[in-house]
Amino acid sequence: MERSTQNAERGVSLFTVQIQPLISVGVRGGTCSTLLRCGWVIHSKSVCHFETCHPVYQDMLSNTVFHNQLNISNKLTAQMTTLEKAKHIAYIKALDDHKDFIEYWMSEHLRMNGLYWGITALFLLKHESEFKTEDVVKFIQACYDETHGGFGSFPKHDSHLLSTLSALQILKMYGILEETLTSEQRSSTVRFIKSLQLSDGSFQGDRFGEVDTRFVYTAIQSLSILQELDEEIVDSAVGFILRCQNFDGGFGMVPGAESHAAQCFTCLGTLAICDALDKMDKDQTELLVDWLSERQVSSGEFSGGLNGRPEKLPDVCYSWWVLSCLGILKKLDYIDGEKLKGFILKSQDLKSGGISDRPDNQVDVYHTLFGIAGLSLLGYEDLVPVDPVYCMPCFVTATIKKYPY
Amino acid sequence: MKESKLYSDKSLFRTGQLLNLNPELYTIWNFRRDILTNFKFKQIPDTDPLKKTAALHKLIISELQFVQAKLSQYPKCYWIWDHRRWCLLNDSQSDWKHELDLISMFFQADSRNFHAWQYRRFIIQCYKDSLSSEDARIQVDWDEFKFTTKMINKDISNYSAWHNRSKLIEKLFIGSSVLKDDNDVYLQVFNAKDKLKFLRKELDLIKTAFYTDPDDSSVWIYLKWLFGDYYIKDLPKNESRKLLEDTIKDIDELNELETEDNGFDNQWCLKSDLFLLKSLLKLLPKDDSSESWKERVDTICDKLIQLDPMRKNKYREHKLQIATES
Repeated sequence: MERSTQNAERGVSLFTVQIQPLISVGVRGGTCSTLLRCGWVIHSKSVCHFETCHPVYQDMLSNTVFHNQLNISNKLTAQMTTLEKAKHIAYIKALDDHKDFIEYWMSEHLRMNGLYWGITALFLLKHESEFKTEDVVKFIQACYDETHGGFGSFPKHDSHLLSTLSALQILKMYGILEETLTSEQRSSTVRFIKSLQLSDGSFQGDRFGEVDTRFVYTAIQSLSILQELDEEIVDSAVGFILRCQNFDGGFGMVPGAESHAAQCFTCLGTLAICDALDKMDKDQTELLVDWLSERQVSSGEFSGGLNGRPEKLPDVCYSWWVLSCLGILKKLDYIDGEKLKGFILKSQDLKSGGISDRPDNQVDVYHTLFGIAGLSLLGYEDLVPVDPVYCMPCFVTATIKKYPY
Repeated sequence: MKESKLYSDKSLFRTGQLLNLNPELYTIWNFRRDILTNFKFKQIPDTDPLKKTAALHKLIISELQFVQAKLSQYPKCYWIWDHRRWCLLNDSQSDWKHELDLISMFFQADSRNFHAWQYRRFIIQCYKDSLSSEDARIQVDWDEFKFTTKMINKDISNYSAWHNRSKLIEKLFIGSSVLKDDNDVYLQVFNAKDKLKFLRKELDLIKTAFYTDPDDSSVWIYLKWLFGDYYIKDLPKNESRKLLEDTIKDIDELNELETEDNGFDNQWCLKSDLFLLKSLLKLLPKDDSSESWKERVDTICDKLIQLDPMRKNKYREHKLQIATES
């Protein structure tokens, strides 16, 4: 375990998850706040710190500012009407090459998630073989938490539901889940996940007790992939989810919390996996569909994009969080797909590859995946069809036995 | 250090250094909590329970200062908010008032920060749990309701405040205790559990709100809830019908003004009319008298298809629904 950790740390399929600096001239509207919720650091502050104490980063910083300025002029003049697949494939592949960057080490807390984002994007682009499966497996194995079961975000990090799901999803997509996990690892992981469910049906992310519908979704999907769902787990989880529904039909992170598109996804996804979509009140569902369709911004420079809550800026990641919800509720046509495609395509970086939260901002692998996944849901060209419930290719989720068994 | 479970002041200091660099390192927050629980808390002598509680409180205050510094830099970081919650749950002398004042600071910076709102709800619940009577607890909900009024009056488009209001209203209608305060009409309404009177009062507020900013979606979305099942099913049909018709009339008046000013209909007026008309049609007998309302729905859908083409398929489906129900 120690040696494989060392190997993992030296660079077996550990790609950097590029961090969005707030330093460049072209950044508009601030950093994607959903990205912040998934664990991104606000870099301008870190950058200031590093400027004074880390000469390596100082160089990178000045290069980044210059690069961003170049990027902006490139983006403004480019006609972005097609998905530049080759560029995005190259961008994702190159994320593994940045081990000398300080960002590489600063993003350990979501490396497993980042790997899932990059690999899923490659699957949708039919280029999953860009990473060697043996490298991916080595990294995932190195993240297994022997004390608690489950997987951490990086070797030596504590296991957590968020990284556990990403690990299972990656292995499932490559079709090597059962052969990779030993029976001990499998049963420990199942025990880890099940032990985190609380009496009100919610799940905590780890033993420290943070509760959130994200964790219900990640637990339920993990158990679905492992075919370990049962009536007791499902019924109480569904009860908790329904209590998270609000006056506007949307869902929040816990009962009482404000509706947010990302939470709508985690709640609807959970209900769908548990075969409980019909448990939602009909009028509430209509309100929800209405609320979701109103996420498409119809005026201003970012028109066509989707936002996460009323009166907020649109962001490419909502092409997934909102669109997948509409997909699950079979109302994809309640927004203008062509206008949304336009917004996503304009958010590409034609020079470096990758997609950003909105046009002219810095790209990252998170928005790259969700932009591509959104396009797939919209039936764009020959992208591999994506399952709106699992955010994995449909050909993969077709092999998951659905609850009830 | 973590793997060897080296819990010490030095390892605690190291976690602080790492979290200063990257507050998203959840594993380091975990390790920090383990150090606090298994080392710092255990350093406090057990001999005098009062002294122990006080010493623990002092330790937590120091930890909260560390957390507050991080929160000011990263006000939307889940891990930091969660650590603050953990601190408070480990201190039996938590100062809830201080926490509420802290939240107010965050609201000044960003009144839509939902982490701050959720934290406020958590603090309120903890405070309520510390009170011994139901009367005292419901009084807290009433104060929170007044707080949402204050936030809305400050900024009508504060969706987070409208949302919180909707949750508090439900609690205030369920609560069995009698609220005691000044002669606030809302207070009388909650004590009497009079949903009809509440609706009339709340609709006055909404009308002021949508006249103030007809393009802000918060108020229109809240309006739909006021005509949802939560209220309507408890009202006599004729009362609901009157409220619907009066509100549609108010919206139509606003739309006329908007059309005069801008040269075209206000989309939110049309969308809200559509929703209210559909609710009205459910209450009306299925005879000729409903035909003119149905025609109105059809006209509105046609207008919205022109004005809001991104959502045209939705309006087409509404048209079809109404036509099929004929």
